[in-house]
Amino acid sequence: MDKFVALTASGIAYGAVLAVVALGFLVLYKATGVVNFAHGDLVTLGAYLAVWTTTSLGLPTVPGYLAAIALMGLVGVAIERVAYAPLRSRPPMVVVIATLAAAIVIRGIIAVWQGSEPKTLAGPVGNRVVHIAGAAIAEQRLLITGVAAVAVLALLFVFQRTPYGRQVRALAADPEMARLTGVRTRLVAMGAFALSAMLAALAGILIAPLGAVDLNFGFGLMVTAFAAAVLGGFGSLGGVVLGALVIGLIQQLFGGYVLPDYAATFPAIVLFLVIAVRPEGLLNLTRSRL
Amino acid sequence: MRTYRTLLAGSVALMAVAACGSGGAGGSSSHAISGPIKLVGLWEVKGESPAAIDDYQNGAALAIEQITAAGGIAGKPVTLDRVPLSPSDPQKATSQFLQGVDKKPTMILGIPAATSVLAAKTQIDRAGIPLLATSSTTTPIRFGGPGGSKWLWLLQSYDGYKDQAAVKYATETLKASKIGLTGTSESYGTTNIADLTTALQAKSLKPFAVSKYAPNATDVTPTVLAMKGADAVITFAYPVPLAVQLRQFTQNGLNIPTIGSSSTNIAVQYKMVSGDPLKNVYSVVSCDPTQGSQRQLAKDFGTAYQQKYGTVPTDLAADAYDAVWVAKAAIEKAGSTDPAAINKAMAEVTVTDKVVCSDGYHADGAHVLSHDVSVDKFATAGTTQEIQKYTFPVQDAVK
Amino acid sequence: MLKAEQITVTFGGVRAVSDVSLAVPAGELLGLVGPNGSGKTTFLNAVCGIVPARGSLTVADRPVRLGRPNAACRAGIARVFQAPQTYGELSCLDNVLLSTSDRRLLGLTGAWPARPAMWKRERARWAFAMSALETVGLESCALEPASLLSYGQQRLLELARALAGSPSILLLDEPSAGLNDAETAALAALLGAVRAAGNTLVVVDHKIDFLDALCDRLVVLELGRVIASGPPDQVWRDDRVISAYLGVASDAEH
Ligand SMILES: Nc1ncnc2c1ncn2[C@@H]1O[C@H](COP(=O)(O)OP(=O)(O)O)[C@@H](O)[C@H]1O
Ligand SMILES: [Mg+2]
Repeated sequence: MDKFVALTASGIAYGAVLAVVALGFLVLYKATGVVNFAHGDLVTLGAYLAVWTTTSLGLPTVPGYLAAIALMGLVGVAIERVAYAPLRSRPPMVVVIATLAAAIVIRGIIAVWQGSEPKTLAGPVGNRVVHIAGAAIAEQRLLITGVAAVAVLALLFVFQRTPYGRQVRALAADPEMARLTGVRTRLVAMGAFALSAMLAALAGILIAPLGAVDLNFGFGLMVTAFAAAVLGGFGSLGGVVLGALVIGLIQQLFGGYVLPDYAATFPAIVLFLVIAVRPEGLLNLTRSRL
Repeated sequence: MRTYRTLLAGSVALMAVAACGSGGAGGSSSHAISGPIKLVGLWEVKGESPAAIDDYQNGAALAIEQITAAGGIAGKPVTLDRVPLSPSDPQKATSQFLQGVDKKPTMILGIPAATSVLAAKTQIDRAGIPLLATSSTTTPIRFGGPGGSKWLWLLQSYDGYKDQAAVKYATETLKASKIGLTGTSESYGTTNIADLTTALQAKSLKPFAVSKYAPNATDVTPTVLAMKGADAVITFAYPVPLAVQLRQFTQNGLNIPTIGSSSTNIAVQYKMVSGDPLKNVYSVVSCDPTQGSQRQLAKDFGTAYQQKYGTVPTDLAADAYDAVWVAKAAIEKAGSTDPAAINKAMAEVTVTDKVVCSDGYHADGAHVLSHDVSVDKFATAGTTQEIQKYTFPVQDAVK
Repeated sequence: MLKAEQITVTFGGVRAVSDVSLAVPAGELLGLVGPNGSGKTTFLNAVCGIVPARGSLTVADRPVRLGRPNAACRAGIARVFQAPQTYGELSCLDNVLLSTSDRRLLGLTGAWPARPAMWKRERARWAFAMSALETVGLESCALEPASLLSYGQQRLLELARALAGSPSILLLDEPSAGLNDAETAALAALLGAVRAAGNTLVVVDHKIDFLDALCDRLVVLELGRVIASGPPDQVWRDDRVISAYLGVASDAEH
């Protein structure tokens, strides 16, 4: 029983981080149609910025985190201006390849700035644990789950209840009509890049205290989160959150009980299966207008 | 300790290069030592690639400085030249090795990753210049193996001996019989877990449990739960998930003695883990050049290095330092700058003077010079103490 | 108000619209007719920038870039499609709010840090959108998702959305298609009222009685070209129009 509780708790915490990464991915996709493969490196950059604000700038943990997230908002806007705006009218494939290039540039900049040595990020709760039904659960994992839940709810609020969200939803459903109706695509795109980068930073900051930050830190997380987003249909926010939790739980429970050696490959297998069974979630169909 | 990126590079899947006949000159020692002696180091300094570090160059330069102060090699001045060779880019190793050859050195030192050595094998055969590699000594690059060469000498003790040392320490000193094995689910963790299992079998033991996790894992709860009830755990993993494992042991109230690889030293050095989780942690390493070493020569080296560079030396700096001293001994024994004579001397010489990482370097049939493996114990403050040293038997050429 | 000159649209080798020029003075309701496939829809698409086109276009004497829906929108061109293009998962009110002409605090600042100010603006936008919904008689469905509306209602919703943007010119494509006689009469009354409120409209339709009652002027297209233009009774007496429609008489009566 305690084993089940421990595995479930770690699955949920992992799924929560995946959800934040996947939502960052999705916000941008919905608002601009861009599948941003630099998202993982934004996760890495966010974590490094948090290391920088808390160690080099000497800010206390939580203000340092918030400063890093705010900086990442600016980074998102800068990426929109420098890398996306000039390519706005190019075919999506060109933009996707540009995001891969952006990923390499971001990684190179981090390497020059911070070096390749891994860094550690202090967590606000240290190594403390709580015991639930006989299982020891790290407080950092509970914190991750709580903060991620708040972030998801805030995002849902923005999407469902604000004029910004209204425009993003319209752009996601039919970008051309949205333009004709007067949706401010440029403003929405800038906001989406900022929001997406901030979510990336949040995910990086939540999970970094559990391990260490190095140049490859965010990439693996992004691949798994991508699988979660695809599993969730790459559409509704709720679906993606669910997909992330399912992947987190599968990885921990399946990995804990059934096939431990293969746990790391589950997300890729899920990704493959989902793409094979229902690829339509990934395709943007063109429509004709009567 | 191996640095982080060397460990990553070393774990790249090995690609066997077909062995072919060794060429090169086989003349007699007709070149008496005349001009200055030139050594070439194949390693980077900071800035040459994102991952580059200064440790190798610093260690070698310190040795050259000391040798020059004491009158050079066989009374002749010695120079150290350098060609940058990145451990994370084995595809480039061949051309970088040839750049080193073009400098017409008496001996070549370095190459930080075994995969790069393997990649450059054909050119090493052809160049006919003795190469003393500072990479880790993996199975295929030993003499007689697919990546071995008549001209290739391996400074560090054989990787497989680290597995044996871990098992020896766990069973003989810690008196453990229920030994769990953990590691990363890629080639580094997997090969070592297989070798550890063999080493356990040699002692009529079976692993208590085996558990692997992804190299980027931030949660190893299944592993922690699987190890409940073991008397010792041996772990060959990347530093980040290793640190996670150590921390999660403590969080789950487990205090099982854990014997790690040099990844443990890296994880501690970069503060990925500190305090309580280090209470019962050991590592098997080919070299501990810190003040925790049992060897006076290692302590002397540490002091001199600290004075010159202002930092504590890593094992990489110590390897490069030792490589220069071994080269000096071989050239002096050959009494010549003739490559064939030096290569012959490499097989015969025993080096105890000044060297840090071995009580005595002496090549065996597999061209491996060190046979020592140390066991470090960590203090919660992060310092190490060398608490045990094993000397393993010499090996024959691989068949 | 709207002046299109030599608008040409080609699909592959086919010229769907060929050198069409027309001018619509402010306050006019222009009827655009022609047999099926004559290029009426494509012309409207060209004007609102959703198909690539050549030619020149001005609205209120200011040039409008072709092929850019957002440019068309900024110029004050609004469109109601034959097959409604509403956002099914958004509420009717949200659909209408999309076209709001009050563009302030619509971004992320409005979504989070400047919420109070945003809510104040948003309430004013709601009131305006509700009045547009009232104009078309959909105020009771304001909070329902648009996907629950009938086909005809969705077209009215699009009309409300177009009106809420306070456009300079409104393009409607076959608004009466699929409506019964009573509904068509109600629509005619609605369009009459919209026009009386000072709007400029271009209406494409097949129902001749419906158009004749509304329009001052008709433009007839055939095979992508303008073949006649003038007051309805005069146009219907034109030989070319008669021959164009004879071949497809059944369509015209539909
Ligand atoms: N997207 C398109 N691709 C190719 N041909 C098209 C497209 N849209 C319309 N057409 C062609 O252009 C011509 C005009 O069509 P349309 O403008 O829909 O006519 P109308 O609205 O007058 O019935 C037709 O021959 C039609 O087949
Ligand atoms: Mg039509």
